[in-house]
Amino acid sequence: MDRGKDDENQGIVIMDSEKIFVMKDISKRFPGVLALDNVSFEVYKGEVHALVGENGAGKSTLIKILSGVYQPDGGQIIYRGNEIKINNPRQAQEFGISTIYQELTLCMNLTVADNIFLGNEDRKTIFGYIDENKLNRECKKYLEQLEADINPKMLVSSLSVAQQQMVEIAKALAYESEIIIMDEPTATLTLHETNKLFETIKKLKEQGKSIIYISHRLEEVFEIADTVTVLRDGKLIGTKPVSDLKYDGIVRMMVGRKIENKYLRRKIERSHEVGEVLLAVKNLTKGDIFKNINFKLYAGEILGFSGLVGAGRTDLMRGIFGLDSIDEGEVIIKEEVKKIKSSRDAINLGIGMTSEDRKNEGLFLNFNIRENVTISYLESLTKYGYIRGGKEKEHANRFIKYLAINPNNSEAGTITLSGGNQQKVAIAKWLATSPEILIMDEPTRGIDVGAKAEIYKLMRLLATQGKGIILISSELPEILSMSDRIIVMNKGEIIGELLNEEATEEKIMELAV
Amino acid sequence: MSIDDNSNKKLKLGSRLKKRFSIFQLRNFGVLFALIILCIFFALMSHGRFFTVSNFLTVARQVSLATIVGVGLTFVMITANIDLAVGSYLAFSGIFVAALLYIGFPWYLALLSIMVIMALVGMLVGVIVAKQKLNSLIITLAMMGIARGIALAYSGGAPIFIKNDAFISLGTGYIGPIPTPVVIAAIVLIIGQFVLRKTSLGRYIYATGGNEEAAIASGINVDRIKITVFAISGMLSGLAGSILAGRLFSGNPTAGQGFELDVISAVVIGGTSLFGGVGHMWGTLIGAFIVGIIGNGLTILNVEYFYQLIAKGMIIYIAVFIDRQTRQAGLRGKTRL
Repeated sequence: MDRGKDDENQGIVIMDSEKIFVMKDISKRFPGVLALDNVSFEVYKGEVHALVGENGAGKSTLIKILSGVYQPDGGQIIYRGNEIKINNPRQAQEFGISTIYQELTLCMNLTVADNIFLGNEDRKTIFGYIDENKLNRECKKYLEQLEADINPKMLVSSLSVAQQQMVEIAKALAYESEIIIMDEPTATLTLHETNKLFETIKKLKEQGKSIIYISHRLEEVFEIADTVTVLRDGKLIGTKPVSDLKYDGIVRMMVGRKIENKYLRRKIERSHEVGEVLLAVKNLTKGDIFKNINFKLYAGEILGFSGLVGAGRTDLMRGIFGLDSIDEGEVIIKEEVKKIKSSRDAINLGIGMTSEDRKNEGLFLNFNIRENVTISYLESLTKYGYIRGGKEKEHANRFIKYLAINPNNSEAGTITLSGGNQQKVAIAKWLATSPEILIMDEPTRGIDVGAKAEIYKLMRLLATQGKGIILISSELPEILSMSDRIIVMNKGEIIGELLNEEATEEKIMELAV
Repeated sequence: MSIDDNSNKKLKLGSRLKKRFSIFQLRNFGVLFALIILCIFFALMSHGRFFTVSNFLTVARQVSLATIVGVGLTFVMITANIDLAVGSYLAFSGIFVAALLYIGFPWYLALLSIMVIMALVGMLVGVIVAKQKLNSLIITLAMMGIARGIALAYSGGAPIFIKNDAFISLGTGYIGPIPTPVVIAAIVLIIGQFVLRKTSLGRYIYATGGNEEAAIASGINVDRIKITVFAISGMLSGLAGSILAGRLFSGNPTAGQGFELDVISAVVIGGTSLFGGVGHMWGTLIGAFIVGIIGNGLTILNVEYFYQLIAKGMIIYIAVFIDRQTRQAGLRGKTRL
């Protein structure tokens, strides 16, 4: 690696800036893995520094060392010219390093103001008494700084995810943080909200804050970051100014090989003819959540569902899949009207559904891969309730091989797997029931480029085999490149249907907003 | 390259070995080790009064009740629920099985009836927990009062005597050289472990406790699983209540007071997680022995009952502490936030 050159480049771009934070030769070992191997990492004042890499590359570990969750086994941390040790998250916060995790860490039962000053009240109180008016006033100050229109007195649980994120950022400001780490901040945001977040990030930059930005979406890195650091297998691959790099270049640094890009580009030739109607939905309604939904799913097609978060796509699919009740309407499977009252009914009718929320609704982290893969198909592997162990293992191994799940050991715990492999296990669970209709809700959320490409390939393969796939995705490039048809939902209603050939990001957004 | 491969293999073997002795197993070795230490301690302190065949049989007889009820409670706790009513169930089933024997039921029919009745009681709790989505801690706390109250009210607070010899031998008899309750407990334990590890019901119990949302989405009828585990817990409490009644020659409305704490301690010491999804029957057995031996050993050492309570309390604390520590160690470095 030509590190010398990298340093030179950096020097040119940010010559006048002040190095606020330096991590030098950081190593971290976990039982059996060297998670970080002599990684050096520098952050300048007022820059947005993107940290990218596949799952398991060491990003999370690096961030956790920065935020005091882990202690490094070797190396130095230098903050404003002094070597420091960060022993715990609280200390990191006191140094001025705030972390906004992908899964937000707010107290849902408290107000916005309470959350912003949580753990920080001692500045504002006399003998533990909290002056609420003062708290709210102060809180408002920070929120206004972010131009976020949020009432400090509201309960956090009543805010949208994007608003909650703003609260987290305001909290970082309240701690007078100099470095704000954002771990996949846009994973659960809509396009509109993402743009708003980017504006906020620019504002923070102007105020001289440094942002460490972690994302799987490379488009975002190009849009928002000044510098990018790439990690792979716990090693530093390089740090470069974003302006020197191209999309392919970053991908190559990340995966160490040239990745076939065709699933990331839009417009795939349709290699097959669509067949019979597998699923038809008539006038499906549930209160205000979704209304008058009509659509058909054909064998052999991928039907994309686009729309803003909260447009009712997931609720609709949960209704069809029997997880939530529906008020009115019919679900017709292969020309027969069916009553689906539970997910068991849906599974028996040949429907599978991977959840957008892998950890909470998809996987059993207390199970190994085998137990996860076979859980929905277990009845067919038992005799009088007795699980036939050999048969179960065989069944699991077939799908581990089919999806190239790593490790290919059916007895490995799912908790140790990377995000991409966990998602493969979640998909394998459904493939194991051999469904004809597969609903995939945000199937590539939070997984790396390599695993994404594999999942796209798999979806295409399944469609070619005559299955019908419903894809819900908030990523427009994904919807555009994968779907044969795209249905756009807005506020619980279907407001448009586009064929792949005619769909563009602009057209979808016009309908969705 | 080949050297590299070799060392790689070694590393893999190493990590595999490590996995073999992973944290859960380690914890079980820990409690087994604690059990052995306890035995040695009491053996040394009691000058030979602890390590006798007759004392061992006494302990085994005591432990068998906790084991039988513990098997049921392990099922319940793996689904991330709890059953506090098991102590009161002992009194309740003891009273009513005595009543059934009094009106002339043969021993086996009385036993069967009371197990069915208790399964129904458990089912009722399960239905409330599952369908009305109420917290099992509170519901079984309520049931704890109700069941004992009914037992006291029906019997007027006095024991109901049992004259059926066959029934009495459930608690006092021997099969070969082994006390009958021990044999029953062993059978219950083996069936329990079999159901847990080898059947779809067992798998669904783990799934329900591990991730309820995912279990529902996977097509598991979570409500039915919850109802089932409470029914099992009730039924096994009925069995244990009958054995206890046999041993006391009577149904006793004050029997089994504080028993739920012994059983919960046993299950938790045995490694069943309070948060569900993790646990097994062998752990519960070891846990029951630890709790039983502490009681028995301290009695032999003439430690007053009051201090025994304190000792038991400390043990629960230590067990939960270890539970928490090993859990964190197990997750550390493995989960991504």
